[in-house]
Amino acid sequence: MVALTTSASAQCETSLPVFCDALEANKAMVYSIAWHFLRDRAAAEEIAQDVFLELHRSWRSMQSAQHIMFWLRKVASRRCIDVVRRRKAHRETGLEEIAEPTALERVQDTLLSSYLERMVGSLPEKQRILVVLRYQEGMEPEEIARILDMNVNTVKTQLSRALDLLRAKTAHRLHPEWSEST
Amino acid sequence: MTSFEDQLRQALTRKEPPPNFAARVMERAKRQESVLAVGWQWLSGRAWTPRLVPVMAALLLVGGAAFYREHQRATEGEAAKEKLLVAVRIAGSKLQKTQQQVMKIQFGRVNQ
Amino acid sequence: MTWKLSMLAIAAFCPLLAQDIKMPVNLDKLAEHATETVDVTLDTSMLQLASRFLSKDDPDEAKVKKLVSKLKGVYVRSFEFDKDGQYSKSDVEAIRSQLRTPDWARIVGVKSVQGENSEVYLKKNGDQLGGLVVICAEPKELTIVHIDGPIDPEELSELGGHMGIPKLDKSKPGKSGGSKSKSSDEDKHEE
Repeated sequence: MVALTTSASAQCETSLPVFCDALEANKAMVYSIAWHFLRDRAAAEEIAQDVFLELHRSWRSMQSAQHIMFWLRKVASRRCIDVVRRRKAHRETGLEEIAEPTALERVQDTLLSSYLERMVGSLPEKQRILVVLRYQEGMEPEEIARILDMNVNTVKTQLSRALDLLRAKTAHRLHPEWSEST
Repeated sequence: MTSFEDQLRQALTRKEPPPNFAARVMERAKRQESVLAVGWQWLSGRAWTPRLVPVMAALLLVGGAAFYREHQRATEGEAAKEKLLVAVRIAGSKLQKTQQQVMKIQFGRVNQ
Repeated sequence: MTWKLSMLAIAAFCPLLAQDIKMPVNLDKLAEHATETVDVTLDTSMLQLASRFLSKDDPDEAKVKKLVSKLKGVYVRSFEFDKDGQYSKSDVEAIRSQLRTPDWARIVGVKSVQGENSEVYLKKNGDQLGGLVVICAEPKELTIVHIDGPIDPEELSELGGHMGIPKLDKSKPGKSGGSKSKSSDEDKHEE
């Protein structure tokens, strides 16, 4: 029994009104997980579509709106990690190796937000998904551990390391006078 | 939450997918449904004639078992490959680190 | 009768031949305190299976395929802890003691003031190398890698810059880590 509102958006003129509602309610979440993880719009859209199609195939086992959200986060996270691992390049670029931004990127990064987004996208994949689930979705470490089948302490340790890495890399943006004075 | 974490939260605000995203998903979902429906129709229309039932059942069993074995093998193979890549990555990293440490010492001694 | 005894002797010896360095059983208990554990055991058959799934078209995977083509086994135990003192010297000694045989030579031993100790052992097999063991013992991490078979450490190092392995910057020896290291003349050996 899926407890969802039955108000369908104008786009959803189908025989699947309830699935349609779930799609409308969660599309931004799924797409954003993929986008913030992969930093590739086309790949993010493809993953998001595949996740919803899988939801459609598994629809009978869904029990509630909350279950759907849990399921979507889990499958989206795993798909993103799988894509990165399967990618031909295989190269994991550590934060230390990220080149300084180009002039165009510096203009685009005028907001710290864009810069932070980019830095998150360059974290090691495990830390990256943890940061996305924690700060995009506002999930607690215990929930994240359930979604990713990880130990809670590992989640906390990895999150802490990820934040340290991000802080170190963004320090010069938060305090530009520090870099000017050297 | 610290202010840095607040900034991170702002940076990771959800984004809307492209405008026709939902429509594309629904189209694919409908296609998926009709493929399944046609498959079932075919099966229910033909497979349940008495002569064909044991044949179909046997084919499904044999085919299913072979597919399962192949799927298992592929799963094991992929898992073994991932483990191997992890092992090579760790071995390479540790050797690199040791090399770095040795070079630092050599560099330090040359400069003395 | 003699040939039967010989066969029995060989059969009894075979399990030992399968892996001449055994990962100490006591290492498994470290997983209970570790925040992250990597446990890889790939014997000859598993290596062959894994190798079949490595892509020839992917340059990194092709290199790994070539690297492992003659290997007999790859074994890794790696533990990360959230605080110091979660493993003891005896845990590491259990593997070091197996390496004090004429077949094995320690080619590198580095100790840092931060307590990051690294050792590399190579196994001699006539004129060729027959194996590699790397032991990295840090305050919050213990890693043991055993590669059984003819391995060229240079080939492994050449994977630097790929597959998540940092690239060795030979012009700047102080670039990574940044920790002060010391080693005694006795420990450090040139290759």
